[in-house]
Amino acid sequence: MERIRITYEKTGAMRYTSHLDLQKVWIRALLRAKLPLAYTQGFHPTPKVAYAWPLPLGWGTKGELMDIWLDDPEGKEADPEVFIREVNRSLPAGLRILEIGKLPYSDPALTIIIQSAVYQIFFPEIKDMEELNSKMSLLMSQEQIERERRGKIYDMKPLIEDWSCGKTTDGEIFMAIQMAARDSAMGRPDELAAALGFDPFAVNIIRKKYILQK
Amino acid sequence: MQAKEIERILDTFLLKIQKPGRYVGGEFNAVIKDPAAVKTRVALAFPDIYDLGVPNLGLSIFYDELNKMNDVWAERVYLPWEDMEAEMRSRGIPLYTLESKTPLKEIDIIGITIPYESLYTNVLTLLDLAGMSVFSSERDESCPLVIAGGHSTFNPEPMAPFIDAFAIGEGEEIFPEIIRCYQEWKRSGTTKLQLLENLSHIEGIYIPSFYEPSYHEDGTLASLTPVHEGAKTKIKKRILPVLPEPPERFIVPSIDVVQNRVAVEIMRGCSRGCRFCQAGFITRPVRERPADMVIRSLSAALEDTGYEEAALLSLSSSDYRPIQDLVTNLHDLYQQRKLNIALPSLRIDTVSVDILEQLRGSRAGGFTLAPEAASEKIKTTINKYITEEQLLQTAEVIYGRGWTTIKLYFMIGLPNETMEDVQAIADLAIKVIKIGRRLVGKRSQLNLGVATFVPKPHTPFQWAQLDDPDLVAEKQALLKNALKTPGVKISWSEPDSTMFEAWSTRGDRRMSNVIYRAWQLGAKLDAWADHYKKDAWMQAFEENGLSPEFYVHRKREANEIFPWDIIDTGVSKRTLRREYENSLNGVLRPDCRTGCYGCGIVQAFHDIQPEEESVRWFCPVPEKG
Ligand code: SF4
Repeated sequence: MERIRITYEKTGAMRYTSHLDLQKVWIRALLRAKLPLAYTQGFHPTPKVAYAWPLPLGWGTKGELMDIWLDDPEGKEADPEVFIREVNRSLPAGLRILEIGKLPYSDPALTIIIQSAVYQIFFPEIKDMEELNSKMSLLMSQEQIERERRGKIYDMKPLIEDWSCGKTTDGEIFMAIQMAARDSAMGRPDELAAALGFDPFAVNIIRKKYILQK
Repeated sequence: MQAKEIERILDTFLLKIQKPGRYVGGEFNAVIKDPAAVKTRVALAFPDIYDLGVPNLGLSIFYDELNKMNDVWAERVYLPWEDMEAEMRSRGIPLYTLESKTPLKEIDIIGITIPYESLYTNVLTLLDLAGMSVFSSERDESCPLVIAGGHSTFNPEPMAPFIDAFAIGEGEEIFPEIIRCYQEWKRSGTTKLQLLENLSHIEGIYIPSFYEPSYHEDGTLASLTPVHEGAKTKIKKRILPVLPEPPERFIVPSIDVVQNRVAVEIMRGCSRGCRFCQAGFITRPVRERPADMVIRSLSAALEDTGYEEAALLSLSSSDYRPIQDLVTNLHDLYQQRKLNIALPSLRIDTVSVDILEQLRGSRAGGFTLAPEAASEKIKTTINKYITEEQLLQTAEVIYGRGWTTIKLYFMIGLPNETMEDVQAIADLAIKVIKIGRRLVGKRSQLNLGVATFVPKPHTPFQWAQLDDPDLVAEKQALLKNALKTPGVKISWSEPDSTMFEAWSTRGDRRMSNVIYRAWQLGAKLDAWADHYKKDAWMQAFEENGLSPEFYVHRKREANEIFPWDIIDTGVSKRTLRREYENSLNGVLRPDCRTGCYGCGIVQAFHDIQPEEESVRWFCPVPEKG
């Protein structure tokens, strides 16, 4: 059995497909691409696939990770170029594999080795980068940033590992922010947007990449 | 509003909407073309939400077929759910095609499928949300051509003022013909009236504005006469002499919908002649697809979609001659892959159990059978005669092979029915559950679906009336009391939805005023139980000086002219009447494969009837000469 780590993007219309539905989309696409998927043991065998952290509905990602396992004794699927081309042909618009890599069969799970995630938050309402900069500086100057999630108060500040503001060539203002992405400490950029006083539904969030344990 | 602008605004609020994935397109197998490179743009519309529309086989067929034409781009449109509709209205977003987000009004042809009557008000919502008048007469050549088809349009009259042209019958040939006709008209640059006139020459096309109804004093129809030069006096439905290759490309949605599966029609038409069944009469003659064609296209579609489920569709699967071959081959092909294949409408016999066992690994979901009637008399009345012995034997085998649940479908409210006939249903159900208890013990389950019979146009029962609601309630109560047995569950049709179906299916052109008014009063999404607005409908009837009673509970005379008589299904009205009389006189009519009784199909379609052995119909080929 072979284990392959896929880096992919989810943009456009696919942002409106939930994590649960996305799993079905992937399985169908991998079946369409006729990959020799390895199946789980048990009464209802399903293809063995492992995802990273679920992406909330509406967010995009440019560096999402997932692992798949193949029954591929001859290593036919080893050529990354062929693999990427074939699978991309089977994917709906908005899902696209960027790169793949092989890794040892029993490496620890993605959700264990992921430490942080880098996001881009776009603020359609903001026209001036400095405005965003000062809002954020003000927020970060607080001792604590208290937010509520599922009825519990928590401090967001320690989850923010790095941030900066930027502007695209099209003039869109965004913030690049690195937040903790561990089971016990999960930074949420939409909650940060809310803390800055924005409608979390009206900002655009893109997960750029994960930072893995060394 | 332009496509780009629509897309931009959607992004600003879609997250506040339930299941936003319904409104963005981009699915696998969605077809994107360059608008500048095509001549004609079509929107295929299903007048209910995405979740129900995507699995619709009819539209899948047209989507595949039309997009194979180089100069045509067919896109899809569904009705938004209420939350989305409200957002669209408040933000001024018109209804748009999913593929390109083009406002519907900029499309050339809108093709709406109306498989059942509870979608009528949704059609109005669809036109209105597109920013057009709902009335054909108020839409000029700057608006798209609005055509409609589907089973409910075999009585087009209730929707007559809203639709420019109805395409009656099977659409695979007629749709491309409509498009060619449209293209020629476009080149000529003439009026919409000219377009409708050109279309009216195509067989199967009904232009409602070319006809005018008149009524007798008692409210019944006196005539529906052509008022336009050259308009045909009867519209003969279109059929394909031989079924073509089924579609191999299906849209694979990126969100969950009601059915995620490949569907292949194995057979069209039915020769059984159950007298309540509209589909059975309007889809004649019987045509089968060869088993190898079914397997080939099913396999191709499964590979192309990655689906794990398939359905083989027909009105009566057991009558498909190569059924055994088909099932064995599919079993051999797919037993590895754990494919789940649905094969509805199996005959009630033990062979069906063998068949289903081969197709389905799991016994989840139970085993469904539709005897429809229990007493000798009613079995004869409806011409669906299954002996009690046969049914009990089948139940014995089903429970015996490890199924724990049987679902039985019955009808009440049939012509001639008495309380004894209803009691017979209860008696039969008790016999079945006893078998279950004996063979699988307490886990055995019997689910009874008891529908109230609705008399449909183009069937022998078109002369019958809907049963009195009080009597129906009494009959339901009888069953409820008689079946308090553990393991038996009963579900009913809602009295309101029965009434609704009965008046809308048999409505005349005046019914369109009721539909329009009810829609104005907020009736929409009528197929959704919690949305049905009875008050709106009652008020609409009253304001228009009409009564549901007239359409629903009135007995019809032998010579009454029906609104749907303008449509010729090939089965003659004389045949239907004879069958109605047979039903009242307790005369059974055997399956016409065992002997043609001259229903009219041969006379109507002899010019296209194939003679080649492999694709022959069951109908006798008339002597040439
Ligand atoms: S023409 Fe004869 S065989 Fe054909 S459908 Fe009618 S009754 Fe049946």
